[in-house]
Amino acid sequence: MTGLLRLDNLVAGYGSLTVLKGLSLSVAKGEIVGLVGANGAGKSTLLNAISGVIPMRSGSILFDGENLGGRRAAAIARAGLRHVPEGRRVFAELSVEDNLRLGAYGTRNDGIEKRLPEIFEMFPRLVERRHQAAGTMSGGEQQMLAIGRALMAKPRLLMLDEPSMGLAPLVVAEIFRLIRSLRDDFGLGILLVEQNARAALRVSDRACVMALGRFELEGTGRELLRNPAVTQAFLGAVPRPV
Amino acid sequence: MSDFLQILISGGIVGCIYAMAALGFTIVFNATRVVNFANGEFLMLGSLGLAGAIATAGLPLWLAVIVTILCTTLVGVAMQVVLLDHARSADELTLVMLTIGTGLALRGAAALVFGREVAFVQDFGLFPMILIGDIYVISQGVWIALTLVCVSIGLWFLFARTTFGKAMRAASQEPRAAALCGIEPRRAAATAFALAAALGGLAGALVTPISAAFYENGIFLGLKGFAAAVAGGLGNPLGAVVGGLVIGMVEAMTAGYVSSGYKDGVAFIVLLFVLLLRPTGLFGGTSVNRV
Ligand SMILES: Nc1ncnc2c1ncn2[C@@H]1O[C@H](COP(=O)(O)OP(=O)(O)OP(=O)(O)O)[C@@H](O)[C@H]1O
Ligand SMILES: [Mg+2]
Repeated sequence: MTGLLRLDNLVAGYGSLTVLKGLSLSVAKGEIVGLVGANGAGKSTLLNAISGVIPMRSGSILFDGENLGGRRAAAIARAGLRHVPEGRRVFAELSVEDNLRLGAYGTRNDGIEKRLPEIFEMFPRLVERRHQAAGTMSGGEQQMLAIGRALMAKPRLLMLDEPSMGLAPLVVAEIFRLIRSLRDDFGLGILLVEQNARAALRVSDRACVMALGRFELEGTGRELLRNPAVTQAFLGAVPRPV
Repeated sequence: MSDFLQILISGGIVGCIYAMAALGFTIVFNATRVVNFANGEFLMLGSLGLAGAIATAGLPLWLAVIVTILCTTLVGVAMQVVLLDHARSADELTLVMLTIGTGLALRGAAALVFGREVAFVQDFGLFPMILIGDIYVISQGVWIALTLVCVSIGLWFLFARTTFGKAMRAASQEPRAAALCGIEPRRAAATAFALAAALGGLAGALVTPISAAFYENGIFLGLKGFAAAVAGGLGNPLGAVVGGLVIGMVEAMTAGYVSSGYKDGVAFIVLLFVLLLRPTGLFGGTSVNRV
């Protein structure tokens, strides 16, 4: 498997605070890599460093063979690596359709016109709300919109930061179905950060457990689901057959 | 009655200028969340620039207006790109202080370049003075009012209809998420400063035939534009226009019926009343954010 995204010994943080203490990781095309860990472990920081929201201190980030170090967030997004941030962050005062169109900002207009119906097909619930202000939608709808917005530009790699946060179980199930389908039907590489560790490990091909800016455990999703250390820390139960 | 209407119209014309100043505050605030206290100096530069371009450089009026607007725009963009952009991680108070400092610097530079004398420019002409009964609208007033209408329509079109304008709104609402969509937040900020400065230059040029050019004029124009923007609901363009018109008219009535000595304080009395009755401003507080 060729790595679509490759991190090597990545170090990053905020101001004088070093959060990520040398992380190495790869995500291949058509692969879901899960990332679980306690609050404050540095999961969001890792996604921020990859997408260029914060600068990295040392190490390297290769996307499709290109070094992303020092590139601006907007340039990285246009290169086909999309980050759906924690808390959805839709453009509240703009309509659903405008949110989607801006997802493909900088690409050709005819491409946007062709892509829009595809996204609406993927998220039928957004169709009837296309002229509604995004901020007035439910949390689940906003999460769908945030993902749809990222998919508008046909990314090759998608990074999702806690897409199930604060959503009802039925909506969570819908989101995880979508994540699977993005991998299976569209061949996207996906880096998935989740608090909902059990659901995340179930869909993940490979996964890492993160603590204090380091990867403590790595393995396939199944292995980690059966690992007693993981079970105790995140799943709050005895191991169950998967 | 006709006195009253006449005062209302004269005040409305000055109010159009305040409205354009207020729109400058609004555009920059929406893009960067910074209140740019140098905004009034853009109008001052437009005014002095026009007078200088005609008297010293001998340019024809139309060319002088264009050159003046271009130069003011450059000043605005430079202010963002050279100064504020490098301090973008500073807190908002620091950024506001920087804009106040820039305003002072621009005033000093204008005094050096254009001198401390009052300069005059003739009417733009073309339109005749309009007479309805015994109420008149001066030719320059027609220019000013028509310009405000065109500017308002243009800005509405930009922000409500074009992708670029919507991207600017997105960058102001959610700067990080906008960057993650491929929108350059710094380009949006520079564009906002360009628009505000161009608008300031235009308004300053338009007001020169009725108020003359002076290097200290930016102080009052800026403060009144600010009062208008806040009274209208900071960030709301319609509020900025209405706020400017209201302040211009109340000011004219104070000068006409009370004493012209109180005229310059009126903007703040209007602002005070509005904020007491509606703390979010006339058109503010209809946010659709949901948590
Ligand atoms: N903008 C910031 N400035 C300074 N420190 C920050 C900032 N954002 C996060 N941190 C710190 O970095 C560390 C890692 O935070 P991060 O948000 O990456 O954790 P996380 O694993 O995503 O947690 P959660 O599950 O709660 O989202 C924390 O100690 C946090 O306090
Ligand atoms: Mg997080």
